[in-house]
Amino acid sequence: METAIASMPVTSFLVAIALLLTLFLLTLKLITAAKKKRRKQRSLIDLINSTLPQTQCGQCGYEGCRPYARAITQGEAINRCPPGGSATIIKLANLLNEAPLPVNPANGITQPFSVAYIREDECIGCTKCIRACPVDAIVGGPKLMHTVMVSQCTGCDLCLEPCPVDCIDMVEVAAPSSQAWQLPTRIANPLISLEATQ
Amino acid sequence: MSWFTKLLSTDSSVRTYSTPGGIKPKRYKSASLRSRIMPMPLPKQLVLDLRQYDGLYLKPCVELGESVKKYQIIADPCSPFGLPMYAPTSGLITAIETQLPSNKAYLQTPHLIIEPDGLETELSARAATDLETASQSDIISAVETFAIGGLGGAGFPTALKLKQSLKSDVKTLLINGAECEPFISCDEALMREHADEIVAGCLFLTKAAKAATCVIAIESHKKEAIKAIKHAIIGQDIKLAIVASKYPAGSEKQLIQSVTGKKIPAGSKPIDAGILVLNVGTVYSAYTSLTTGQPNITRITTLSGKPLRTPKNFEVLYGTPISFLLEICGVEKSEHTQTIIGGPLMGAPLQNGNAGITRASNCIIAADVKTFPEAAAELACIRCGFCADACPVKLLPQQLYSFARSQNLEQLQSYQLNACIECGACSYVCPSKIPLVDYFKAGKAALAENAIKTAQSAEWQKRFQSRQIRLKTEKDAVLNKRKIKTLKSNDRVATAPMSRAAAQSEIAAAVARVRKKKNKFNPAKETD
Repeated sequence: METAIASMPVTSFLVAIALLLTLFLLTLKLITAAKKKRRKQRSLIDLINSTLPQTQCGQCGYEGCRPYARAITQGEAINRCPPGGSATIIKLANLLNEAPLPVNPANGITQPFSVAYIREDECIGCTKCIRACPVDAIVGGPKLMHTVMVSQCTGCDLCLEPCPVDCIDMVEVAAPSSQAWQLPTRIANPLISLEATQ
Repeated sequence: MSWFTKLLSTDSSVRTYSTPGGIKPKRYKSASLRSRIMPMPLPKQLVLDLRQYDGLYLKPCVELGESVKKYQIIADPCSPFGLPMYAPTSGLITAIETQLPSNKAYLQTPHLIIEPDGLETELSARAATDLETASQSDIISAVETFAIGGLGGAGFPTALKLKQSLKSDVKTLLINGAECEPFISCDEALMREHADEIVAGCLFLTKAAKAATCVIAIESHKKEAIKAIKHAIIGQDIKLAIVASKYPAGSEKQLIQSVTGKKIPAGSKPIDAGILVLNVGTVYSAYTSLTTGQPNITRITTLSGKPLRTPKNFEVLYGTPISFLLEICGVEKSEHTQTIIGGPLMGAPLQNGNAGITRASNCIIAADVKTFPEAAAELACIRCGFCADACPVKLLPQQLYSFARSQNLEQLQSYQLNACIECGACSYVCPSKIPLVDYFKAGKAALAENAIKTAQSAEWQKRFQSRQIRLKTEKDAVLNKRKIKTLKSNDRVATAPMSRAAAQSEIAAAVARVRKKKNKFNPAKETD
């Protein structure tokens, strides 16, 4: 009895330590779980982002494709991307298990792929387009001619508006195809009859 | 008699393996094999296609109106996949123009036109290569300068193949004499008449590629060719493989499978498995060019089809217009419906009769309604599975068909559409007359386009993100600067509460400083 009472503070100390330890472990677990959740969320953003066309045009109302992807995970509509068009919307709908919608006309209309072209002798070298380009595809210095790197241009047309002399045109280019085989002609528009995966 | 005993004693043929799928269409080869290979008279003009293997174009190095000699270089390659173009005859360059090519007629491609003068003035012949003493690199460079390209259908530069084979360890040099597609008989005719040259060519190419063994593969129904080659390889270290005659036995990977039992995966090359495949026509042209010192300017082309009065194999100059060839063979205009370039299964209808022969033109078929009826209307797929049985690469054409129709690229990818060799066996067996292979060609094109697009958008994404990071660091730098500035001014206020006298003296000093500055810029005021 004597010994039991004498060891009381020791046991309580031990119990306290054990409690603290479990608490510590629990918090650790909670932190890792939160991290994991964030990572999962992140991978969903990445998945959505990889479905978007990466034109970074901002027609959706966000700064670029990734910000829009983040917004979609928080409940934004999936039909705000005109460059992606119906193909992207169908992919997003499949991915998120939502109903596909037509492109919201408020965000713009789907147009054929075109790239910016600077009429170089009219360019005054104001660098405004360089600052507007979301993918740094325009090169040039102050008061010197600018030009667009065609292979990097996403066709977002964000450089048109800031140009003070209107020397930038959007030039339509052929789709990047090495071959020109078409489906046999007896087929209706295949996009409409797109079957669900699996 | 000694060669006969040798023939009996040596086991010159190798065992073959069975391959999946395949079809056995009617061969239609005997008509063009009735006569020997004939030379072709000189046409009024030669239309030379400037396309290279990789789809780029040769650069003409002659002027319009220039007169050229036979064997003179008239166009240079612009990439390693091109071969120099030699003038097939002497004459005037009358056009360097854009015209529809013989194959894939929707692409515009540059052509060069030579009007022959009939004099055949030759550029002095280059030195012939002594095949006995020539080193490996000599042979390869000679093959390159003499413009030897694959005559099996693709026109891939042979020197490039040999160079690739040097990097990897080649065990087998496989000579493709299978020629499985109906109507085509140019390789069979060549083996029948020039077996000795082919075998001699095989020997030096084996040396050039440092291959351990050389195997000539021939389809079993080509009796005369087998006989001739068997006779020619007596006493030589060359083996003969007699492969089952079915279509597509002559397709590169299928031939390898039936001769060696090895399967070459989609996306990898035979050379990765230590096998170098060359067509018999290529071997023959390499041998004749190197021994005579004259570049390759001709190929053997089959002219066949019911509307032709004399179907034959001809040795034709590159650039000979196809309409001219048909005329020489006596085409019956009333029967002739269309012209097919290549075989009936993989070939394409000719759009422009004026197009010239290229390295890839192994066969010209004059079609009639009976043999080539109008394409029947496509019916619904009944899932009979005949196409899956016929597929030599064991794909599932009926699945791929629905995915190609719906442009479901993910599924096309996962069902391995890229392994399709576009042989057309599936279309041939389809009871619903679905042009399956056309869907697959379109599907492959869509996959290729998608791959380009994906790479492009990945690049855009990368650039966008790096720009975002740059903008953020720039903004942070500005904010930091401002922060530091405000901190500094705060410090001064906080640490030094000035006495009145000190403040006054500082003000006086500041006023003096300003006055001094003013006087410095306005010395006129000083005199006031």
